[in-house]
Amino acid sequence: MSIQLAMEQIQEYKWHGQRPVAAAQVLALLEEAVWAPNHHLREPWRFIWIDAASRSSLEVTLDPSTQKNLRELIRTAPACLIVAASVPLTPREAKDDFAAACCLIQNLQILAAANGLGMSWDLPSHTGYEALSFAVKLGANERIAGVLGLGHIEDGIALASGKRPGRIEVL
Amino acid sequence: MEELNLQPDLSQAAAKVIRERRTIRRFAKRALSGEELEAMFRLAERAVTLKYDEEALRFVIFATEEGKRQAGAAIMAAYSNQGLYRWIPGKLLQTLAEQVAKTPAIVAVIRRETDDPSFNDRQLAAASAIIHGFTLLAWERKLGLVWNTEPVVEHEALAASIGLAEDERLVCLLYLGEYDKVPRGKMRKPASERWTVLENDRREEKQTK
Repeated sequence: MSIQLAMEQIQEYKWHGQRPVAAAQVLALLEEAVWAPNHHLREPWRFIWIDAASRSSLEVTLDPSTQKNLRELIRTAPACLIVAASVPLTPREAKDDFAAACCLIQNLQILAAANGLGMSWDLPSHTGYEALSFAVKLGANERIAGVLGLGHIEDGIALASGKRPGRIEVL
Repeated sequence: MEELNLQPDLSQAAAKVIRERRTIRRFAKRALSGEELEAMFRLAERAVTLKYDEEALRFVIFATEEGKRQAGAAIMAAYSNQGLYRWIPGKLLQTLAEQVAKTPAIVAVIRRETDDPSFNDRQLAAASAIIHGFTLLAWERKLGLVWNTEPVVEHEALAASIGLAEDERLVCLLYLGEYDKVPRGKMRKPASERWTVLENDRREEKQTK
Protein backbone atom coordinates (compact mmCIF):
# COMPACT_ATOMS: atom_id res chain seq x y z
CA MET A 1 0.00 0.00 0.00
CA SER A 2 2.79 2.42 -0.93
CA ILE A 3 0.52 4.96 -2.62
CA GLN A 4 -1.80 5.02 0.36
CA LEU A 5 1.13 5.46 2.80
CA ALA A 6 2.62 8.28 0.72
CA MET A 7 -0.78 9.98 0.33
CA GLU A 8 -1.42 9.81 4.08
CA GLN A 9 1.81 11.79 4.61
CA ILE A 10 0.77 14.70 2.40
CA GLN A 11 0.34 17.94 4.32
CA GLU A 12 0.61 21.63 3.67
CA TYR A 13 3.70 23.39 4.94
CA LYS A 14 4.89 26.86 5.71
CA TRP A 15 8.59 27.02 4.90
CA HIS A 16 11.23 28.35 7.28
CA GLY A 17 14.47 26.52 6.48
CA GLN A 18 16.23 27.11 3.20
CA ARG A 19 18.07 23.83 2.76
CA PRO A 20 17.98 23.66 -1.01
CA VAL A 21 16.20 20.95 -2.96
CA ALA A 22 18.38 19.92 -5.89
CA ALA A 23 16.98 20.49 -9.37
CA ALA A 24 18.30 17.03 -10.27
CA GLN A 25 16.15 15.44 -7.54
CA VAL A 26 12.98 17.18 -8.75
CA LEU A 27 13.78 16.24 -12.36
CA ALA A 28 14.26 12.61 -11.26
CA LEU A 29 10.78 12.65 -9.64
CA LEU A 30 9.32 14.21 -12.80
CA GLU A 31 10.72 11.32 -14.85
CA GLU A 32 8.30 9.12 -12.86
CA ALA A 33 5.48 11.69 -12.72
CA VAL A 34 5.22 11.81 -16.55
CA TRP A 35 3.42 8.45 -16.38
CA ALA A 36 0.22 10.43 -15.82
CA PRO A 37 -2.87 9.62 -17.88
CA ASN A 38 -3.30 11.92 -20.88
CA HIS A 39 -5.44 11.88 -24.01
CA HIS A 40 -3.91 10.40 -27.18
CA LEU A 41 -0.46 10.53 -25.56
CA ARG A 42 -0.20 14.30 -26.17
CA GLU A 43 1.94 14.58 -23.00
CA PRO A 44 0.74 18.18 -22.69
CA TRP A 45 3.24 19.52 -20.16
CA ARG A 46 6.47 21.46 -19.78
CA PHE A 47 8.56 22.29 -16.71
CA ILE A 48 10.16 25.60 -15.79
CA TRP A 49 12.60 25.49 -12.89
CA ILE A 50 12.81 28.85 -11.12
CA ASP A 51 16.24 29.26 -9.58
CA ALA A 52 16.68 31.17 -6.33
CA ALA A 53 18.08 34.29 -7.98
CA SER A 54 15.07 34.81 -10.25
CA ARG A 55 12.40 34.56 -7.52
CA SER A 56 12.12 38.24 -6.72
CA SER A 57 11.73 39.21 -10.37
CA LEU A 58 8.74 36.84 -10.58
CA GLU A 59 7.23 37.92 -7.29
CA VAL A 60 7.03 41.57 -8.37
CA THR A 61 4.91 40.62 -11.41
CA LEU A 62 2.05 39.65 -9.06
CA ASP A 63 -0.43 42.00 -7.38
CA PRO A 64 0.02 41.77 -3.58
CA SER A 65 -3.67 42.47 -2.96
CA THR A 66 -5.00 39.56 -5.06
CA GLN A 67 -2.06 37.10 -5.28
CA LYS A 68 -0.72 37.18 -1.73
CA ASN A 69 -0.44 33.39 -1.28
CA LEU A 70 1.26 32.85 -4.61
CA ARG A 71 3.77 35.64 -3.86
CA GLU A 72 4.56 34.05 -0.50
CA LEU A 73 5.08 30.63 -2.11
CA ILE A 74 7.48 32.07 -4.70
CA ARG A 75 9.39 34.01 -2.01
CA THR A 76 9.67 31.34 0.71
CA ALA A 77 9.67 27.84 -0.85
CA PRO A 78 13.15 26.28 -0.89
CA ALA A 79 12.51 25.18 -4.50
CA CYS A 80 10.06 26.49 -7.09
CA LEU A 81 8.81 24.80 -10.26
CA ILE A 82 6.17 25.88 -12.76
CA VAL A 83 4.22 23.25 -14.68
CA ALA A 84 2.83 24.61 -17.96
CA ALA A 85 0.01 22.84 -19.82
CA SER A 86 -0.54 22.97 -23.58
CA VAL A 87 -3.68 24.74 -24.81
CA PRO A 88 -4.91 22.99 -27.99
CA LEU A 89 -7.48 24.63 -30.28
CA THR A 90 -10.68 22.93 -29.17
CA PRO A 91 -12.11 23.72 -25.72
CA ARG A 92 -12.61 20.03 -24.98
CA GLU A 93 -8.98 19.17 -25.74
CA ALA A 94 -7.86 22.20 -23.73
CA LYS A 95 -9.83 20.93 -20.73
CA ASP A 96 -8.42 17.41 -21.15
CA ASP A 97 -4.84 18.71 -21.40
CA PHE A 98 -5.20 20.95 -18.34
CA ALA A 99 -6.61 17.97 -16.40
CA ALA A 100 -3.70 15.77 -17.57
CA ALA A 101 -1.13 18.34 -16.36
CA CYS A 102 -2.97 18.37 -12.99
CA CYS A 103 -2.68 14.56 -12.79
CA LEU A 104 1.05 14.90 -13.39
CA ILE A 105 1.24 17.46 -10.58
CA GLN A 106 -0.59 15.06 -8.24
CA ASN A 107 1.91 12.31 -9.18
CA LEU A 108 4.71 14.70 -8.21
CA GLN A 109 2.90 15.52 -4.94
CA ILE A 110 2.77 11.80 -4.03
CA LEU A 111 6.36 11.06 -5.14
CA ALA A 112 7.61 14.10 -3.19
CA ALA A 113 5.90 12.81 -0.03
CA ALA A 114 7.49 9.37 -0.54
CA ASN A 115 10.87 11.12 -0.71
CA GLY A 116 10.57 13.26 2.41
CA LEU A 117 9.64 16.40 0.50
CA GLY A 118 6.62 18.61 1.05
CA MET A 119 4.96 20.39 -1.84
CA SER A 120 2.53 23.28 -2.12
CA TRP A 121 0.48 23.88 -5.27
CA ASP A 122 -1.01 27.20 -6.27
CA LEU A 123 -2.57 28.68 -9.40
CA PRO A 124 -2.40 32.32 -10.46
CA SER A 125 -5.80 33.96 -10.94
CA HIS A 126 -6.81 34.89 -14.48
CA THR A 127 -6.55 38.61 -13.97
CA GLY A 128 -3.09 40.07 -13.75
CA TYR A 129 -1.15 36.96 -14.68
CA GLU A 130 0.11 38.18 -18.07
CA ALA A 131 3.27 39.67 -16.52
CA LEU A 132 4.09 36.33 -14.88
CA SER A 133 3.49 34.48 -18.18
CA PHE A 134 5.80 36.92 -19.92
CA ALA A 135 8.48 36.63 -17.23
CA VAL A 136 8.57 32.82 -17.50
CA LYS A 137 8.32 32.99 -21.32
CA LEU A 138 5.13 31.00 -21.64
CA GLY A 139 4.15 30.25 -25.26
CA ALA A 140 0.90 31.59 -26.77
CA ASN A 141 -0.55 28.07 -26.65
CA GLU A 142 0.46 27.38 -23.05
CA ARG A 143 -1.00 28.10 -19.62
CA ILE A 144 0.10 27.55 -16.05
CA ALA A 145 -1.29 24.40 -14.39
CA GLY A 146 0.65 24.92 -11.19
CA VAL A 147 3.22 27.02 -9.42
CA LEU A 148 4.80 24.50 -7.06
CA GLY A 149 6.91 25.05 -3.96
CA LEU A 150 9.03 22.17 -2.66
CA GLY A 151 11.11 21.73 0.47
CA HIS A 152 12.40 19.14 2.91
CA ILE A 153 9.68 18.19 5.40
CA GLU A 154 12.02 19.01 8.33
CA ASP A 155 12.29 22.59 7.03
CA GLY A 156 8.52 23.08 7.04
CA ILE A 157 5.88 23.75 9.67
CA ALA A 158 2.85 21.59 8.91
CA LEU A 159 -0.32 23.65 8.63
CA ALA A 160 -3.72 22.43 9.75
CA SER A 161 -5.50 21.80 6.45
CA GLY A 162 -8.86 23.20 7.56
CA LYS A 163 -10.40 21.23 4.72
CA ARG A 164 -14.07 20.40 5.12
CA PRO A 165 -15.20 16.86 4.28
CA GLY A 166 -16.24 16.60 0.65
CA ARG A 167 -19.72 15.83 -0.66
CA ILE A 168 -19.74 12.15 -1.51
CA GLU A 169 -22.86 10.05 -2.00
CA VAL A 170 -23.10 6.29 -2.45
CA LEU A 171 -26.10 5.03 -4.41
CA MET B 1 2.21 -2.78 5.95
CA GLU B 2 5.56 -1.17 5.19
CA GLU B 3 7.37 0.90 7.80
CA LEU B 4 7.12 4.65 7.41
CA ASN B 5 10.87 5.10 7.81
CA LEU B 6 11.69 3.05 4.73
CA GLN B 7 11.46 6.07 2.47
CA PRO B 8 13.62 4.74 -0.41
CA ASP B 9 11.44 1.62 -0.59
CA LEU B 10 8.29 3.68 -0.30
CA SER B 11 9.47 5.91 -3.10
CA GLN B 12 10.27 3.02 -5.42
CA ALA B 13 7.02 1.24 -4.66
CA ALA B 14 4.95 4.41 -5.26
CA ALA B 15 6.81 5.08 -8.53
CA LYS B 16 6.09 1.51 -9.63
CA VAL B 17 2.32 1.94 -9.13
CA ILE B 18 2.40 5.26 -10.99
CA ARG B 19 4.34 3.73 -13.86
CA GLU B 20 2.25 0.56 -14.14
CA ARG B 21 -1.20 2.17 -13.97
CA ARG B 22 -3.20 1.72 -17.17
CA THR B 23 -6.60 2.79 -18.42
CA ILE B 24 -8.99 -0.16 -18.05
CA ARG B 25 -12.10 -0.45 -20.21
CA ARG B 26 -13.10 -4.10 -19.68
CA PHE B 27 -14.04 -5.22 -16.23
CA ALA B 28 -14.47 -8.49 -14.40
CA LYS B 29 -18.03 -8.64 -13.13
CA ARG B 30 -17.34 -8.59 -9.41
CA ALA B 31 -19.22 -6.21 -7.13
CA LEU B 32 -17.42 -3.38 -5.32
CA SER B 33 -18.09 -1.84 -1.93
CA GLY B 34 -19.38 1.72 -2.30
CA GLU B 35 -18.17 2.50 1.22
CA GLU B 36 -14.60 1.43 0.42
CA LEU B 37 -14.64 3.61 -2.72
CA GLU B 38 -15.92 6.51 -0.61
CA ALA B 39 -13.03 6.09 1.87
CA MET B 40 -10.57 6.17 -1.04
CA PHE B 41 -12.10 9.41 -2.34
CA ARG B 42 -11.81 10.94 1.16
CA LEU B 43 -8.07 10.22 1.29
CA ALA B 44 -7.64 11.45 -2.31
CA GLU B 45 -9.27 14.76 -1.29
CA ARG B 46 -7.01 15.23 1.74
CA ALA B 47 -3.93 14.64 -0.44
CA VAL B 48 -4.57 17.67 -2.68
CA THR B 49 -2.75 20.81 -1.49
CA LEU B 50 -4.28 23.19 -4.06
CA LYS B 51 -6.96 25.27 -2.32
CA TYR B 52 -10.46 24.81 -3.72
CA ASP B 53 -14.07 25.05 -2.61
CA GLU B 54 -15.05 21.68 -1.11
CA GLU B 55 -18.73 22.64 -1.36
CA ALA B 56 -18.47 23.13 -5.13
CA LEU B 57 -17.31 19.57 -5.92
CA ARG B 58 -19.34 16.42 -5.46
CA PHE B 59 -18.97 12.76 -6.21
CA VAL B 60 -21.83 10.31 -6.73
CA ILE B 61 -20.78 6.66 -6.54
CA PHE B 62 -23.21 4.24 -8.20
CA ALA B 63 -22.29 0.83 -6.77
CA THR B 64 -25.57 -0.90 -5.86
CA GLU B 65 -27.69 -2.72 -8.44
CA GLU B 66 -30.41 -0.09 -8.15
CA GLY B 67 -27.91 2.80 -8.36
CA LYS B 68 -26.21 1.36 -11.43
CA ARG B 69 -29.52 0.69 -13.15
CA GLN B 70 -30.37 4.35 -12.60
CA ALA B 71 -26.97 5.52 -13.90
CA GLY B 72 -27.18 3.16 -16.88
CA ALA B 73 -30.60 4.47 -17.86
CA ALA B 74 -29.37 8.09 -17.54
CA ILE B 75 -26.31 7.45 -19.69
CA MET B 76 -28.26 5.63 -22.38
CA ALA B 77 -30.91 8.37 -22.45
CA ALA B 78 -28.16 10.90 -23.17
CA TYR B 79 -26.64 8.75 -25.91
CA SER B 80 -29.93 8.13 -27.65
CA ASN B 81 -30.98 11.80 -27.37
CA GLN B 82 -27.67 12.92 -28.78
CA GLY B 83 -28.40 11.00 -31.94
CA LEU B 84 -25.28 8.89 -31.53
CA TYR B 85 -27.34 5.74 -31.59
CA ARG B 86 -29.96 6.94 -34.03
CA TRP B 87 -29.57 3.86 -36.23
CA ILE B 88 -29.39 1.36 -33.45
CA PRO B 89 -32.58 -0.64 -32.90
CA GLY B 90 -34.20 -0.21 -29.49
CA LYS B 91 -33.34 -3.78 -28.54
CA LEU B 92 -29.62 -3.19 -29.00
CA LEU B 93 -29.84 0.05 -27.04
CA GLN B 94 -31.35 -2.03 -24.25
CA THR B 95 -28.35 -4.41 -24.42
CA LEU B 96 -25.96 -1.45 -24.19
CA ALA B 97 -27.82 -0.18 -21.13
CA GLU B 98 -27.39 -3.61 -19.55
CA GLN B 99 -23.65 -3.51 -20.31
CA VAL B 100 -23.37 -0.15 -18.52
CA ALA B 101 -25.30 -1.58 -15.57
CA LYS B 102 -22.90 -4.55 -15.43
CA THR B 103 -19.92 -2.23 -14.88
CA PRO B 104 -18.99 -2.85 -11.21
CA ALA B 105 -19.16 0.87 -10.32
CA ILE B 106 -19.79 4.20 -12.01
CA VAL B 107 -18.84 7.55 -10.46
CA ALA B 108 -20.19 10.94 -11.52
CA VAL B 109 -17.77 13.79 -10.73
CA ILE B 110 -19.59 17.10 -10.55
CA ARG B 111 -18.40 20.70 -10.16
CA ARG B 112 -20.26 23.94 -9.68
CA GLU B 113 -19.60 26.45 -12.45
CA THR B 114 -19.54 30.20 -11.81
CA ASP B 115 -18.78 33.16 -14.07
CA ASP B 116 -15.29 33.44 -12.52
CA PRO B 117 -12.84 31.50 -14.75
CA SER B 118 -10.21 31.38 -11.97
CA PHE B 119 -12.69 29.65 -9.65
CA ASN B 120 -13.69 27.19 -12.39
CA ASP B 121 -10.05 26.34 -13.16
CA ARG B 122 -9.28 25.65 -9.51
CA GLN B 123 -12.25 23.33 -9.21
CA LEU B 124 -11.30 21.47 -12.38
CA ALA B 125 -7.65 21.23 -11.26
CA ALA B 126 -8.64 19.91 -7.82
CA ALA B 127 -11.19 17.48 -9.29
CA SER B 128 -8.54 16.10 -11.67
CA ALA B 129 -6.00 15.66 -8.86
CA ILE B 130 -8.59 13.94 -6.63
CA ILE B 131 -9.65 11.59 -9.44
CA HIS B 132 -6.02 10.74 -10.19
CA GLY B 133 -5.17 10.09 -6.52
CA PHE B 134 -8.25 7.87 -6.35
CA THR B 135 -7.13 6.08 -9.55
CA LEU B 136 -3.76 5.23 -7.97
CA LEU B 137 -5.38 4.05 -4.72
CA ALA B 138 -7.67 1.90 -6.87
CA TRP B 139 -4.78 0.48 -8.93
CA GLU B 140 -3.04 -0.54 -5.72
CA ARG B 141 -6.21 -2.54 -4.90
CA LYS B 142 -6.23 -4.16 -8.37
CA LEU B 143 -9.07 -1.95 -9.60
CA GLY B 144 -8.88 -0.19 -12.94
CA LEU B 145 -10.90 2.64 -14.44
CA VAL B 146 -11.51 4.89 -17.41
CA TRP B 147 -12.50 8.58 -17.40
CA ASN B 148 -15.21 9.46 -19.87
CA THR B 149 -15.05 13.14 -20.92
CA GLU B 150 -16.84 12.59 -24.26
CA PRO B 151 -19.38 15.24 -25.34
CA VAL B 152 -22.13 12.99 -23.97
CA VAL B 153 -21.18 14.02 -20.41
CA GLU B 154 -22.34 17.54 -21.23
CA HIS B 155 -25.72 16.38 -22.47
CA GLU B 156 -28.71 17.89 -20.67
CA ALA B 157 -30.57 14.57 -20.61
CA LEU B 158 -27.74 13.13 -18.50
CA ALA B 159 -27.57 16.21 -16.27
CA ALA B 160 -31.30 15.98 -15.64
CA SER B 161 -31.40 12.26 -14.86
CA ILE B 162 -28.34 12.37 -12.59
CA GLY B 163 -29.95 15.32 -10.81
CA LEU B 164 -27.51 18.17 -11.44
CA ALA B 165 -28.44 21.64 -10.25
CA GLU B 166 -28.67 24.47 -12.78
CA ASP B 167 -25.10 25.65 -12.08
CA GLU B 168 -23.53 22.17 -11.90
CA ARG B 169 -21.50 20.49 -14.65
CA LEU B 170 -20.37 16.91 -15.01
CA VAL B 171 -16.54 16.84 -15.04
CA CYS B 172 -16.54 13.22 -16.17
CA LEU B 173 -17.96 9.77 -15.58
CA LEU B 174 -15.65 7.10 -14.20
CA TYR B 175 -16.26 3.42 -15.00
CA LEU B 176 -14.39 1.12 -12.69
CA GLY B 177 -13.94 -2.47 -11.65
CA GLU B 178 -11.53 -5.34 -11.28
CA TYR B 179 -9.63 -6.27 -14.42
CA ASP B 180 -8.35 -9.54 -15.86
CA LYS B 181 -6.15 -8.13 -18.61
CA VAL B 182 -3.76 -5.16 -18.44
CA PRO B 183 -3.13 -3.29 -21.70
CA ARG B 184 0.47 -2.55 -22.66
CA GLY B 185 1.87 0.80 -21.63
CA LYS B 186 2.92 3.51 -24.06
CA MET B 187 6.35 5.01 -23.46
CA ARG B 188 6.58 8.60 -22.25
CA LYS B 189 9.03 11.24 -23.44
CA PRO B 190 11.70 12.02 -20.83
CA ALA B 191 10.90 14.96 -18.56
CA SER B 192 14.44 16.24 -19.21
CA GLU B 193 13.34 17.09 -22.77
CA ARG B 194 10.58 19.32 -21.39
CA TRP B 195 12.75 21.01 -18.74
CA THR B 196 13.86 24.63 -18.85
CA VAL B 197 15.72 26.65 -16.22
CA LEU B 198 14.68 30.25 -15.69
CA GLU B 199 17.84 32.03 -14.70
CA ASN B 200 18.46 35.33 -13.02
CA ASP B 201 19.29 37.20 -16.21
CA ARG B 202 16.21 35.62 -17.79
CA ARG B 203 18.33 33.75 -20.24
CA GLU B 204 16.96 30.24 -20.67
CA GLU B 205 19.08 27.21 -21.10
CA LYS B 206 18.23 23.63 -21.72
CA GLN B 207 19.53 21.61 -18.85
CA THR B 208 21.50 18.58 -19.85
CA LYS B 209 21.01 15.67 -17.57
